[in-house]
Amino acid sequence: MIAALTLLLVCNFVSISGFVTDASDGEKISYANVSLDDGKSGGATNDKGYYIIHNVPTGSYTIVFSHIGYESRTVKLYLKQDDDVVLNMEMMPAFIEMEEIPVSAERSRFETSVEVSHINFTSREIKAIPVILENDLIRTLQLMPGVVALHDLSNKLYIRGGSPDENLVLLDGITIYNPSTRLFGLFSIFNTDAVSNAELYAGGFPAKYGDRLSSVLDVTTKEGNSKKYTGAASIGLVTSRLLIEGPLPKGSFLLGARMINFDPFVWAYTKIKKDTISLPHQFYDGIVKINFNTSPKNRFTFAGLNGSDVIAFEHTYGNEQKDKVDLEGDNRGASFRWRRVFSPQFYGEVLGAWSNFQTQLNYLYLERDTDTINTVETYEEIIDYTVKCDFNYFLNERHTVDFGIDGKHLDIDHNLVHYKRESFTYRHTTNLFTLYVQDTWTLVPGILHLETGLRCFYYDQGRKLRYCPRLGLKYRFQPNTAINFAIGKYNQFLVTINSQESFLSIFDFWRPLDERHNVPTAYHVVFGIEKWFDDKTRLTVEPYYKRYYNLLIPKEYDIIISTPTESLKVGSGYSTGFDIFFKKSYKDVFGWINYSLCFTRRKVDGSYYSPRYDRRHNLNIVLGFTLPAYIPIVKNSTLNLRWYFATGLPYAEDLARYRYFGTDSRGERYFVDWRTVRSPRGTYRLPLSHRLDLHLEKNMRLFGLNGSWYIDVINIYNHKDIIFYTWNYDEDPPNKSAYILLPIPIPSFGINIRF
Amino acid sequence: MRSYIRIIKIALARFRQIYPLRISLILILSVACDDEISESYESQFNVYAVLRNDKVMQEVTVDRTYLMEEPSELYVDDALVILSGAHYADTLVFSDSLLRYVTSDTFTLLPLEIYRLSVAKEGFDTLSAETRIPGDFDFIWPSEGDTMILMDSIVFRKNVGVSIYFCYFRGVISNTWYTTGTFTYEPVVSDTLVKIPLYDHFSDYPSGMYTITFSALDSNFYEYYTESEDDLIQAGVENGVGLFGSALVDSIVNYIITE
Repeated sequence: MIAALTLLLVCNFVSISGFVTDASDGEKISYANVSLDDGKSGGATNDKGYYIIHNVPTGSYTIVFSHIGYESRTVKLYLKQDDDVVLNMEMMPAFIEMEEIPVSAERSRFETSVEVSHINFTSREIKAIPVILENDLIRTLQLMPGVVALHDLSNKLYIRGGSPDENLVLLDGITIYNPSTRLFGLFSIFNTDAVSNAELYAGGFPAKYGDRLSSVLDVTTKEGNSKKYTGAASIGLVTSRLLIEGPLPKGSFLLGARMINFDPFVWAYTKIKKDTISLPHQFYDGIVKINFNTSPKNRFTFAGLNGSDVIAFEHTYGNEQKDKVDLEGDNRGASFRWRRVFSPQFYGEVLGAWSNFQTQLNYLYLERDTDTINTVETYEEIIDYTVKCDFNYFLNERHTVDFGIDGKHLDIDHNLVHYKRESFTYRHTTNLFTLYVQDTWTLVPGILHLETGLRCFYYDQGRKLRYCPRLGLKYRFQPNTAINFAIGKYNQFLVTINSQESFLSIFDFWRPLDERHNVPTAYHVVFGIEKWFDDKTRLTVEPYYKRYYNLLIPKEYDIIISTPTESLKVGSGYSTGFDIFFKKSYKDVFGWINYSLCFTRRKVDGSYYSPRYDRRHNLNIVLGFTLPAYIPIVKNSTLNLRWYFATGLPYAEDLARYRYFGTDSRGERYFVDWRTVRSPRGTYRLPLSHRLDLHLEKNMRLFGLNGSWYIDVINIYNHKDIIFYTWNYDEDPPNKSAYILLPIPIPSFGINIRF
Repeated sequence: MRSYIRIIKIALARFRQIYPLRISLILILSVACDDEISESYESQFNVYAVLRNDKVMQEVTVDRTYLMEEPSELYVDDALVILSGAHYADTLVFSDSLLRYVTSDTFTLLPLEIYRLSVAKEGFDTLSAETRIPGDFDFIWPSEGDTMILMDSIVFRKNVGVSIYFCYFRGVISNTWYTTGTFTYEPVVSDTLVKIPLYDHFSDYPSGMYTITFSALDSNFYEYYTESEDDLIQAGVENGVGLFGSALVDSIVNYIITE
């Protein structure tokens, strides 16, 4: 006791802190290990690459930075009295096998933080997985537990029984309202070359995120290489991509661009249909990011994106009359971020972001009854201004407090002009203010972590004040086994008025809640077990339960509705199930298996139904390996296989048909059409869905540059995956036929070059 | 007794040998299997009728729903169809030429009265339907015979019980028939007056005497007219599908100067 007191009197304690970055390009390194040779002190970098070691007694130390995929760095330090040390570290990449990177990061998280329903993806992992035509972030996430897709070409995220509008999607802090708009929804707006990492919270997400009911996808683009000028170019079957990055005085920049060069689906469709239909389509998007480190404590970042997607459809009857559709969707956004390290224990970020989404539809069609050309024009614009301050305060080695404020101003403009007369105009402005605080408390280092948080909203429509408490817990009761638990309340103030169950829904039409509406609310309970069998083998089992209240549910078949929010019905519902995720790598082989069981029900007008995205079982097996050297041509190539198996989607079956008597202006019937009597929503299921995909990639040298070529084959064994049924009324009784998206195995190929 | 205990012990020992994983798997499979649902569907009547005050005989088309695999027929001609309202009832008869049921006698409609339709046949649920005739027109301007110019508007009080208006112009000028297209008006509920600017719809026609015909249609018709293709249409109809609506039609004759 006396010795301890003496030690306290003679010793002083200081802290060591700083950022850890990649020496080759200046990118942050998350979850790198930082340890002192005293055997007691240490820690890991957080998601921003920042670390702090508290209360280190003065004296001489050796500090070791390590992270798999990088050469370890060792630094000798002498810590003087009253002298906190700021030590920023650059680590050199080492040649390692690709599969080791995620294992390392995951293991580090497993040991240091509360990780409930959290998936992190790097750009490298996104590109390694075979997907239809070209790699895509959202399509890759669809291979993760709890995430389902409606069909082979769907690029929307249905997470644990939540609809896509319940997902918060952020790109460098910019809220993205329609992330899956490119090429009829085939691609997302994310340029995978520019993505640094993507974090998906499938449920139970912490208090620093909010305003959505189900999940969060937080995408961060690369910082830009601060060491040298580099670039990457890719030419694929559908798109071309270019990325250039390099240093600036006291900073770095990144420029990325992507555009369509060919649309094989359109080509095939026009070839099959030949005479009457043309489907010109184009999209492009660009991204820019500029960083300035004006001092060791201040960093300024500007990020911007601009993208557009245009679809034109024309159908001619005879020589003159025609149906014509022009559809355009534009995503734009910009953010300005200031990060300041106020002290080793305290740093913060101020973000100003602007997000804009516009969609415009011009539809010109032949009116059958009067033989006249009619027009429908609709236009929607959503502008989001966000100002956000996030602070991290490392109180001591046990507590980290995150807190922040957030102000959001939304302008929404929607109008519909039918037959040159304005059917409706909707203009609405709302404000949402948020305050959050979150404490990460290490009760027992390396064993018990508690994350408590509270998020408060003030919404100016109806002056609604809401409190959303959150709680997360990790108990690592064995060195390789831990229990995760999360519970929380979630609110959403913005909803879509188009059905999220439509087979093809490219653009969403958003509406803020108004005074009449109760705030849609969800409660999440997640309980998970995570076990590491060895450093490269991990198993996670996560049961969950989500309860929804005050949902605003559009009619089942609405794509664009004519009146704002009036046809939305108030509903409730629940989603429950569990996700199993098993990941392993061994020598040259890596892969994972995930299985999700999910029951999703919604309740409208007093009765429950299964929404279209209620996939009961969802199984994904991903396997990747390096081909041995004795195989010619493809020796040392990486081969990735993905097999997918899922329950068919629920749907409403056509039970019967009846004549619909069209009327004229005097109520006289003058034409007859057929309509159907459908079963209640979601009472039938489509057949099982499954397919096998392949991705083969080989490194090569081209014109003295490093690069690779790749081949993807989708649906290798040619499974006919039925998406829906149609009826041909030209015959009596009508013929039923199944609609299949991938009638043949689809190959694609491309070249990547790095310079 | 001993043998029973032995059996139980063996069973317990066997049970312990089954790994919890297997039990979990069995549980998963048992709770995760969906029952195969097949809906049985009974055919129903499908009617189409818009009662109109400008007709002396009312008409009702009667058909039925057909299973998807079942061939269709040419309407139902042997049902008992009764139209009633305003202290009057009529059993309709099937017209082979019109392929619909018509009232057996003159059937005059009264504004704001409720009329009911019943369709019955063995093997079918009896269809019942109801509609309320919209109230009378009350024109503020113009009156019958007034002269109008293109900058004028037709103004009238909103009819009671109306959900949508149709309007068209017809005239004979220099022995040529001129008929405009039909214009649709969906009155806003809070409005008490309906104002129709002439120049919106009447620009390319010669000056002359025109009959302006207005149809005020009830909410059943509006529902039928505006329902999306995917909705089951039961506009005023119970135990069946289709429409049972009503229209109040009125017209005025005015001279319109278009030059």
